[in-house]
Amino acid sequence: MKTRAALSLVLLFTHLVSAVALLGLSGWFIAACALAGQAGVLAGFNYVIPAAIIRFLAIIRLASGYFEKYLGHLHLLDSLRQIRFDLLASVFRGGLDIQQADSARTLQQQTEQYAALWSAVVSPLISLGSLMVGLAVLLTFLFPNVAWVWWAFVLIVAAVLVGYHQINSRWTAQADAAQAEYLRAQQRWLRTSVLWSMTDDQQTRQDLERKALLAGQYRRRQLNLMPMTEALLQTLGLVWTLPVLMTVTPQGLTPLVVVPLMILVSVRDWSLPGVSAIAQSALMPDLSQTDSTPLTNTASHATEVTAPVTLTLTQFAGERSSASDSDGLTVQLTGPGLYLLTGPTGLGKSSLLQGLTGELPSRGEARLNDNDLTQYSSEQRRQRLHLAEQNGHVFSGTLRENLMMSAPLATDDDCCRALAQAGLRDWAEPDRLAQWLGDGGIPISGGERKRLLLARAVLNPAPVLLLDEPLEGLDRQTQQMLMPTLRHLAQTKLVLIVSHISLPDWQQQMLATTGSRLTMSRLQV
Amino acid sequence: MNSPMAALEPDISAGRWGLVALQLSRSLLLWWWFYRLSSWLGAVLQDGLDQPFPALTTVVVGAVLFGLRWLEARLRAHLGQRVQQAFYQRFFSELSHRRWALIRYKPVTAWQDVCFRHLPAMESYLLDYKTQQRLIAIVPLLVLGIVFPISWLAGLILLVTLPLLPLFMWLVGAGTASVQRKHMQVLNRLGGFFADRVAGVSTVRLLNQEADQLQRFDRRSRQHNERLADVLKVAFLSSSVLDFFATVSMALIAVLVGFSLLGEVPFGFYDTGATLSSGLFVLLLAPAFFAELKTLGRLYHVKAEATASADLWQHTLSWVEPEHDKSLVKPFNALTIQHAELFGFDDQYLLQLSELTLVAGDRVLLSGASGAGKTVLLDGLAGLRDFRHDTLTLNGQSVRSLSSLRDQVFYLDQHPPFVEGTVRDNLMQPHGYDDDCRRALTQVGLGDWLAQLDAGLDSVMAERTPLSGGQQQKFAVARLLLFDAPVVLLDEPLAHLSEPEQSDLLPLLVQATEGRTSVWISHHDLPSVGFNRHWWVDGERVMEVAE
Repeated sequence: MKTRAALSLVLLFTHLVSAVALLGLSGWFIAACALAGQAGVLAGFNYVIPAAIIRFLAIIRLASGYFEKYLGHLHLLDSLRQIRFDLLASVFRGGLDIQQADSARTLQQQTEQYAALWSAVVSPLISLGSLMVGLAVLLTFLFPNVAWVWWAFVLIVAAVLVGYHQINSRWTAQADAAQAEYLRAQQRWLRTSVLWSMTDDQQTRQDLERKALLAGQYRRRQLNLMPMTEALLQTLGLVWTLPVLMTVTPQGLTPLVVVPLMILVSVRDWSLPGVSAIAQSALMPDLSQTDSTPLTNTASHATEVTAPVTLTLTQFAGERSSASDSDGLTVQLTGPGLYLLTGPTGLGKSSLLQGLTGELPSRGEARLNDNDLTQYSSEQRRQRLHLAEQNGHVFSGTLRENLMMSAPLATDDDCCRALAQAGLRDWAEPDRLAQWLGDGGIPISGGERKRLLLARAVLNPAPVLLLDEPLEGLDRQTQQMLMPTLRHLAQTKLVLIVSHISLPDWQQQMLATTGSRLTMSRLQV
Repeated sequence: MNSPMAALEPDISAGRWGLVALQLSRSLLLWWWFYRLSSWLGAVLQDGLDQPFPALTTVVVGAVLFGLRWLEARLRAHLGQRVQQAFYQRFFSELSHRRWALIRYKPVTAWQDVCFRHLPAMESYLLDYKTQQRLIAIVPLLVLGIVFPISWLAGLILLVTLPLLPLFMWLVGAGTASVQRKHMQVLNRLGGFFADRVAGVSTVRLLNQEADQLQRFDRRSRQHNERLADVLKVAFLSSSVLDFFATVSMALIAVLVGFSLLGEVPFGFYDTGATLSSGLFVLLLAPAFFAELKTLGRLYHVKAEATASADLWQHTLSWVEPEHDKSLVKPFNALTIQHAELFGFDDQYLLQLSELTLVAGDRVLLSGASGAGKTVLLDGLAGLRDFRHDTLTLNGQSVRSLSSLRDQVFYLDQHPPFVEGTVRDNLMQPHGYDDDCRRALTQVGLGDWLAQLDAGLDSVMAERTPLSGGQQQKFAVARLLLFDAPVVLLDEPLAHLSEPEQSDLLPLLVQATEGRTSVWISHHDLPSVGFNRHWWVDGERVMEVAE
């Protein structure tokens, strides 16, 4: 990857240099031809070689342009792969907190931007810098007494670019802040639309409009910086012809003087890549804090934990910042068996399950067969306790992939059987297994998703199954249909269900309760 | 229906010509200076005259160029603001009219994007792209007009590229279109895999699949990158075409002018023959011929983005000036609908209503198979959707829409919103009605909760309130009690609550809707409510069911 990056830099530099050289040489050539033609003496003026060099430079420019884009893009793809890999590893390790689909999408876009760091920012700036220094050296060589004029120009251009960078960063940050402010206000306003009839929201609307216009103003101001910088550079280039010509003596007025003039006059064209690079750098997200130490999962299962299992909770609760001060649950569940956790919504039932698997920090103690859960690694914990989340993710992939994530060794038959048991008989066929689900696939209803999560639970080899609202979103008929599956599972595993729905034929035997009215019961199997 | 961009155009079309004029004057000024420079060089180098360099002219031209650019920037900002204002006016008024029906229709990300991706894209298209389009028509012709009288050969070279350029760009573009599409597809798929696994991280971790998924990602990315390498070989040809023509023309002109000057090529410059000044002038002017096309090339993606954005919002946000319902808003008394249809925001057919009657004081049970029909009907009753109908009679008068009901309706669904503010703010009450607030909260059973708050009604509540689901719904009922809405629409308010919470809340709802007209969506029968009407949604039809 490094060689590709270096090569694309060289090509970009060549592309830039050939353009400038083409311009300078063409100008000189015309001047030289004019003088030679006028003198009527062609001898001594080899015009074939410059003409050939001009054509050669044109070819170099085209070829370098094409190959730079090609190699640059290959480098970008590779860089993108690496960045995303590192980020994914960080996210999996739990280092980055990204739980929502839209922040995942933002991250995806940010990686695309960041991958272009080399080709869109670093490489053009290095090329421009090298070009300016190279030109300065060349002109010093050609016009020793004009040298300081050129070096002064280079310094001024550099100063303008640095100034542009500083102001641009500041104004970009301002525009971003104003934009975020407006988005927050808009989001708040949109969320409360059911309340609009209750208030005179004229005030809010005016405030929103004001914020929106302000954000737009800041953004436009920042966007206008680039053309103004270009215009400044062009004016500087024009004006700098004065010192160049004033320091040239009458004897020094040769066709060569056309070269610096052409270069100065076209400053906007050859500095444009550098200016865009600076503009891009302000948009560059900072994704450098990633850790790429490899992740491994052991392939073993929790073979030493077989039924019967005992789950002992002592004042256990999952820790959530907005959770009320509950005293935790104390209960002993012996498996195999079917247990039910109920209680008011939003008061910690899901958090308790997540605390058991280690996804959330927890209070109190939880033991599995006399082993404190905290003494297991996260991986071992999740091998022993399978959690089907309330809003489990359906992955962008085939149905088979989605199921095999729960049991990598499952065969197609196992998958079909699990699907049938989970109430998805229609899907229990080999060609349905190849269907694409999730993002970009066939949309599925909430009820179908719930049953898919149940199918994953059926396939999972863990001895303890935690199911968060498995009956939610299903109609009564389907709910009744799933009960035999749950009962069957409860014959070999410890199954704990959280559900605010209860079926009429359930016989609950209450085991324990907490101060905030969370109740753990045993369901007769 | 108007396209959003067509609706925004009239405000700025005059100003846009201003932008064109400013850019043209900048170009012309610069070319004039080129002419002075090349004349001077010709005089000094070729003729050996001792002319002073037009220093003052140079400085003035430099300053004026900068000034013109600054003016252009100001004009651009002003026009952009006009576009934005026109847009937001319609945007906010449309949202005010459609409220939650429209907001729910698009994902949260769409509402974020519309203001800061879609609108800027449309703005850029209207102001930058279209200006550039006009410049492309004018500038090359101007250049040709200046060059031809000097050198018909140089003019010819430029003239030939004029039709060739778009032709080649089209050819290469068409030829590589499938390649580009494939390229985008692969990139999207890889990006999608990444975003999908990030979004599903908790499930990945719970299933102990981290290492496996990482491996898959790495393998898939590498495979795709390798395959793309071949695809990419042709992908950049189209962008190279412009560069090709510009560079080749430049080189050709330089060589031909040089040879003309040498006398090797005895044509191309009419009878006067080539001079240093005319040669240099043509050389300096040639890039201007291609410059506008290069700028348009950079702006090309703006067109694609803007059209995509406009398409996305074309139907959803209607771009017609909303008509204000001037009729006096009387409190709701009776409503009759005969053969109406409800359509979605993208013009999709949703629901057909046969005879429906609603009288003040009714309690209507709205049930049916799962689907969005019931919610759509509630939106229609709230005045948020348009009916296409035979007859719509409201309070005895024939009306075109139910929009006058909008502010008479209280909508209660499963998740009442909370704002960052005091309890009083969340009850939507101004200061001075504290007794009413307290009474309402006590009535719904939140009296104890209020009492244990540190600052009472001034206590701050957050968006993610620690209240349980049942308590949140009670709070919503308190809002209802404080609001004088004659019509209450309930969208399965009990569905997600536990059974004790449900039996707690139901009597409160019945009490709060006493004396009002209410329509309840519910899967269950709820006999304690005392419904006197039953509407049934079957697929795409709604009808009243005789009890």
